[in-house]
Amino acid sequence: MIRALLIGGVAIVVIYTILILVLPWESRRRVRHLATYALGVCCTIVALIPLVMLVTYLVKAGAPGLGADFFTQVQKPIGEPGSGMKHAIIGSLIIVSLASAIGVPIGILCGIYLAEVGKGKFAAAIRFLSEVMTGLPSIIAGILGFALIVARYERFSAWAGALALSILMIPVVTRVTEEAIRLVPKALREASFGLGAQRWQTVVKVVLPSARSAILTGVILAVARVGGETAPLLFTAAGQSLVNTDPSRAMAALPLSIYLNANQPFDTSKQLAISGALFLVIWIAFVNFVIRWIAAKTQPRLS
Amino acid sequence: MAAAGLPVGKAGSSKARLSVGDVVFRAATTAAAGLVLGLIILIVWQLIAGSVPVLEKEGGSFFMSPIWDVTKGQYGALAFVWGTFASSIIALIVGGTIGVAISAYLVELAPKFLLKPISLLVDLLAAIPSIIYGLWGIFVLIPWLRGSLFPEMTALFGWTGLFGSPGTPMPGTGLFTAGLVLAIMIIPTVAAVTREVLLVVPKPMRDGALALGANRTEVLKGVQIPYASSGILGALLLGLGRALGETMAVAMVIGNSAQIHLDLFRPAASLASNIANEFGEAGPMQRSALIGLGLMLFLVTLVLNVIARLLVHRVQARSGLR
Repeated sequence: MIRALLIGGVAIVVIYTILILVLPWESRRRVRHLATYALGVCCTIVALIPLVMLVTYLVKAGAPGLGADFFTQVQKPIGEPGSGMKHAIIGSLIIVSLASAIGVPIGILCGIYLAEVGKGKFAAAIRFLSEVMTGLPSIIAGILGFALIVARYERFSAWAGALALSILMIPVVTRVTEEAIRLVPKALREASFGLGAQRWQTVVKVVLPSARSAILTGVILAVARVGGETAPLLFTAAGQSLVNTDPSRAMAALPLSIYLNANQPFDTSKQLAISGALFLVIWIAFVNFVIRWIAAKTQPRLS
Repeated sequence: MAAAGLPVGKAGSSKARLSVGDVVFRAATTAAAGLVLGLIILIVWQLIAGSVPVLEKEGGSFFMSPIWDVTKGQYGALAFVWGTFASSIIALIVGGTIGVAISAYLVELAPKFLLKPISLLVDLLAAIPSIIYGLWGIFVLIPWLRGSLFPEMTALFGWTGLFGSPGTPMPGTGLFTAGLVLAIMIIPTVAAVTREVLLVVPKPMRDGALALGANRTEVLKGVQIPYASSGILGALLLGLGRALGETMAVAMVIGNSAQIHLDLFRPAASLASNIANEFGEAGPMQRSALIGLGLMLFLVTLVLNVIARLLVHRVQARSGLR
């Protein structure tokens, strides 16, 4: 296959070079344009192939495992059939809720600060830092969760995992909030001020409601994103094979259980991992599409 | 910018007329902003404090030594630095090219109705969690590479020393596999930022070139890419940053072996993948060494991200967007 691709590639390059050399100027320009166009089409297709392959593989290999057991059973001893992800789904919901409870308010307040309150160098610095923070490697957030909570209380806990996830969430929420607020027209604010409203009243009663749906979309997408994170949870929430609802102890999470099962040599474990992955992708796709759709429907008209 | 002026008049002391609500509002939002700053300082502080023991023990050889032997208590980071950079560079070459090409194509060449749906699909690549790329890598990509691509590549290019050597078993994991998975993962980052900077190229410049008789390829090469070039460089650096810091997908396909080989088909390990693998069961000194790896990773990605953002801002500022 490689050989064929290579020969084909070399042939195309040779033909292209010959065409460029022999053709008159006008046709040469056309050939260059067509070649660039073809290259663009090829790259686009190449980029979408993994997406298609990944989704078809997950659906084909994962769907058979999404039975009743998946939702009602917990992790059986490795290799035994009949395991499920109940504990992991519950754990993920709890950890992500806790992370959102920490991260979303801070992120939204920080976004409001950047859009409405802060001016000058401090605000510019915070804005830049929060932008840079979106590139924070997720494993670093895990180290922080470990250092601040696990190391101090000497046990793995869902709190540590939630803290780690919230660190990843805050910069994203900050940015979407700021951007959403900036899209609210000045005239609305001025009208509010004109009616004698104070700044906080204007923000709470005029600006935020206008930006509500954009902020909500961004926040929910950020929440969905951290819901798929594994690395920050590895040595914070650390995983668990039973249902646990006490956040001060180790807790399972869906991505963690996928990871643990994927590394096992047994077919039942692999099946569980792939089905778990399918469930996670369905969930994320659901959130992405449905939330975007609802947001588009409910977005108040601003101009 | 923020709304014009506070509702309080200039006459009289404005402090006295600030209401309780405004004071609380201002304090709460400023506190949140301060918290974000504090968080970054906290991360840096924890990473430095955590890696002090290993730095005291190993000194400079922590950065220079390629030997990472937990049982002997030797901690050198070089093998992970190599694994991280080699896999990320492969990702940048493959994924960066594709990402830039997609956006250049969608913004200038393709029919307008393609821009939104294809961009959405490419963005979806970013919404897929890294654990799922890793899973796909293990169950689909690695068997395929091991079974067909790697043997062929070795037969054709084995002599370079980069792509395996005939006769040695190939597990299918390694720098090349990690690079491929990372390439897929950075495509959306590179494509999204490239799209952003290409879209802010002023329309008159573009139209001017078209009016002079340039075709769309020439507009792209002569106007848009030069105008947005620093932003495109920023996009590539952001992609590189994402590749360097990626943990789970790499940990699942790189093979996790702390060796330095030029051969891209042999197992290796990266900074992030090694932290993920060893941190949970590490002893105190090993933990400190792993935090040291984290510190290196953090500093490199921080610097990359700062440079990349500045480059992107420069293009946007020139177009009057910031």
